[in-house]
Amino acid sequence: MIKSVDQTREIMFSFIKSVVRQKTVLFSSFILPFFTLWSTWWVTADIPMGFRLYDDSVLVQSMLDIHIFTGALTAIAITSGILSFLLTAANQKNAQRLRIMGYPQSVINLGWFLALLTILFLGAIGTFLFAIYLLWPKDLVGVFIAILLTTAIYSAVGYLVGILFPKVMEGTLIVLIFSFIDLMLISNPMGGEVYLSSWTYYLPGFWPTQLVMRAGFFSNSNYLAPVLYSLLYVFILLLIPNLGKLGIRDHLSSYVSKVTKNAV
Amino acid sequence: METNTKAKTTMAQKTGQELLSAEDIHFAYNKKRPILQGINLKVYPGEIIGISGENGSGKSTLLKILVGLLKPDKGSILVKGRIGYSPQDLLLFDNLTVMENFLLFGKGMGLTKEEIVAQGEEIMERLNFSQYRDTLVRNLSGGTAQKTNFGISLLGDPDILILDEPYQGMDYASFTAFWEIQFEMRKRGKSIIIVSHLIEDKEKFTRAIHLINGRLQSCTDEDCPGCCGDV
Repeated sequence: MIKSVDQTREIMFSFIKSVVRQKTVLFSSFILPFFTLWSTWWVTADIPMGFRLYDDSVLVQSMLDIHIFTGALTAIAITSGILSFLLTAANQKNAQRLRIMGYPQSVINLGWFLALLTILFLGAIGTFLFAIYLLWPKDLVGVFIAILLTTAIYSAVGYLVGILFPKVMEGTLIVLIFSFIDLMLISNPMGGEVYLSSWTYYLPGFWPTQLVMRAGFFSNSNYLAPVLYSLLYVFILLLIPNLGKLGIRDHLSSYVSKVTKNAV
Repeated sequence: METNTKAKTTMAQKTGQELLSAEDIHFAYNKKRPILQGINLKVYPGEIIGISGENGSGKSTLLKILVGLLKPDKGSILVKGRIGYSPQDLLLFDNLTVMENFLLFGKGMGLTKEEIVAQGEEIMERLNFSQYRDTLVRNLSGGTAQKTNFGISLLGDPDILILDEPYQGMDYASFTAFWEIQFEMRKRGKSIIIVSHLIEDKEKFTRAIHLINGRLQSCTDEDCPGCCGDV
């Protein structure tokens, strides 16, 4: 146990050190969310619309205001997903060598993910500060938690894609398109008919979006369901790379590869 | 069947205490084109085994299977002792220094920081790159990065060293130091498997084997393909 903790810490700090020395990565984790949120906000019209939450709360609010919070989640999802994917994919072979040197796969995964999360936490804070600068929410803590949850979930999404399918071009497209479709189109209250369809509850962005809408425009947020479901999501995503011994990971890898080939 | 004319049989070979035993290994990346078709290999203490073969013959694939990076489609591998592996491609963290790479990889074996630093410094000293101890790997020359790549495989004094073209880009002094390390390890009963294309290396091997058509073969005459037989 002590050995595992020591090894996890070594991987985590070595990886943080390694990323901090790549100025472009650090720079991207601030610039990318800022630019995404700003451009989303800039192009949205200031027209009121009514929206509903999963608990049947209803509110009429400007589309511009709604897009500040959904835009913040989209921004940090794209940033977390892509950076997490690129860093994981780039270090896949090194991870194999770590395994040969004696690190258990679960320790490598955990140390890596904690390092990613620590780095992307800075991006999450930047996104949060910019969002509340544009519009002060009713519940500051709720908005921050929603942004953190999105960061964690999409770090795990990028991480998983990076492990299963470490091809830069295809993987980046998968993460980019998926995060955009999830947070900007389907989980977004402006998503029209599909919004709140029962199947959308299973999308990674659903619960953080519900939380950010509630925290943004209602004073009494309920954190429990969004936090629990989001953490469960992260847990499941992190569990998949550890299923190598059962052959599930290889099966998923070849499945993702087939799907991508067909799509392209 | 051991048919190599250069084989220098050790006592361990006679008594059958192999450090590594691979039996009937089959592997294919693509089912239509099998790479390895029934590899049998026993490695005994004190051996330096050279593996050669054409480009794409599966040498690196075989080494990856031996160290556990790839899973064979069929066959079994038994290893007694710890393996050190130096891959053909540089598998290092570019944004960490040489010593930080040693520390990160060394911790995997459960070594303490003090042990890793002591061993790392000794390895750097022997291969003559101590001056790059605190240099980021991305700023190293190809040869020095290769020394780091190889040096990491020596951490923890492994029982079997598996090296995939380990001295690409090394200068002559480092190349000589590299072989001194191998001979010294051999004396201590360690075994080394090296993929190499260099003709001058052949004199240094205790056994030279060739990967031909997915099988390991020993050749009595280099210019006579018909004189090769299965290992």
